[in-house]
Amino acid sequence: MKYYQELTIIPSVEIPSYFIWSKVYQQLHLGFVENKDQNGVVPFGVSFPQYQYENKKGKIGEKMRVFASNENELYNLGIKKWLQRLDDYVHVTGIREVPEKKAGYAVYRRVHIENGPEQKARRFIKRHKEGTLEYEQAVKMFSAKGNICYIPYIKQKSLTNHNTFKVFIARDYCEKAIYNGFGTYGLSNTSTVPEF
Amino acid sequence: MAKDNSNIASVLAFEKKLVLSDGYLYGSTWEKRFNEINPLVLTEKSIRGTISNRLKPAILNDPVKLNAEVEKPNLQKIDACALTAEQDTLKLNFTIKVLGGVENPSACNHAVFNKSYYETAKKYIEAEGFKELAWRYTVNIANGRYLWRNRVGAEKIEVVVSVDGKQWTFDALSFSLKDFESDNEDLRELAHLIADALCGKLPYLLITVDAYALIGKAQEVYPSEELVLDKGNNDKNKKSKILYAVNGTAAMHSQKIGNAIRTIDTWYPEFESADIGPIAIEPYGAVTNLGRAYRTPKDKTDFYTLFDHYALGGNLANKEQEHYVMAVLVRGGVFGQSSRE
Repeated sequence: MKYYQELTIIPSVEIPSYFIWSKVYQQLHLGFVENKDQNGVVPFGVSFPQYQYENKKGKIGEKMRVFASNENELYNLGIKKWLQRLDDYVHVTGIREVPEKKAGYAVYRRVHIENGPEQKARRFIKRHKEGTLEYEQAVKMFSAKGNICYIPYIKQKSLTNHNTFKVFIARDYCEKAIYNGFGTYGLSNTSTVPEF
Repeated sequence: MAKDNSNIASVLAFEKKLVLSDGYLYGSTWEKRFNEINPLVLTEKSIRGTISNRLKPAILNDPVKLNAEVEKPNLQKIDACALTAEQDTLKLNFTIKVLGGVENPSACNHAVFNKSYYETAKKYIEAEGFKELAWRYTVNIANGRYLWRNRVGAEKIEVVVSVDGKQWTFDALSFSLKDFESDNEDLRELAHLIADALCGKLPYLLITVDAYALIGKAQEVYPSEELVLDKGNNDKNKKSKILYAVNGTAAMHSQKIGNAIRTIDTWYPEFESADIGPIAIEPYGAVTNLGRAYRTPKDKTDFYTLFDHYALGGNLANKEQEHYVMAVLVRGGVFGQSSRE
């Protein structure tokens, strides 16, 4: 990961930044999807330099960096083109080289929260007990875990069924650079991005 | 502030000089945006949410209590509003009435103060002719700031402004939301009319604004949200998000549009460092969604400090402060001594 572009949400009194993040991330996601290889791997990783999370409190911050291993990849991705309609709300730098002096590396990974008992019960009936088990009884079979998550997230809207869902993002620091590609949100469980 | 306030009127009120209507929302397609428009209606959604609010530490640290808490389904009813599958364009329509007579308070019980304020206001109109304020209001009409969230991510935005048979068309995305530096002939023409109306040279000015935003097929639309004051915990059928509609048509509050039009204050002390751009004209420079007041009596930049001095014939530090004071009077309000004790 040698090159990057930095995005900054432009603060304003009328539009809260979480709302802009949703729109920005949606567009980037579409851009990343167009750049998958045949295994569904994306060559772009993202970081959130102002990310904070501690004691069940945290925030995404106002900045994001999109990394690639060479200049051409970023050039072909065309972030500015994907974010063109959001011009008044987000600032995008040109392509820059990652500085020699780094603070280290980090993994930004997506966290899926466990379904609540209601969802588990519905799924269980559908797959195993269709017509033989009542929902009320099924719910009691599952303990109420999951469902609560304090990790910072960006809200997304499904383009297929219009439901909203949250992309929870966790950060782990890491000693060295690892590259296994990224997912369509620029996140990965193993690949790192430089921190500086 | 140790100051003799006996020369300030205890009853003092100003009518607003920019009178906004509610904004009505319609759906259309970009090709047929001038002739095929349909009112947007609200749809009600019932969703089964999860408990996601911050819980009390007592509950958090007790797994049994936590389970009990999380097992409660969080049923919510909310309003939503969106274009239909065929529509890709949102239309917002509203009108602005511009009035003159800022030199006359609508209520004032202090003859000496009234006279001295009248002189001050006349002097301002003489010198400035409301040109600067009118210019800024005009830029905000052209840049589509009043679309609020509907402006974010729009592909094209066209603002059609009509006054009495004349019509101008602005490309909203070509105007900045951060400054008022833009310049073109149409802007100047419209600003000139608004300035004349504020000065009282025109008896009355009615501006019709039609904003068309190409936001994409079936996209969500954001009308004003109604404040839910009685959040009953026992009634499961309460709606947690109520959107504003007038006679079935989704709408924006006139106050919300007015707030966007008067977002012209770049003269507050922290303008450079705060980096949030212009704020709405308010007596204390209040920005509610940031929970901040940018003009405080402590740094003597709030409206009352400046106005008391200015209205009694004093000079303000600079022209910007005069613009600000006059903009608050255009906004209107009750500014009497008794109302601020």
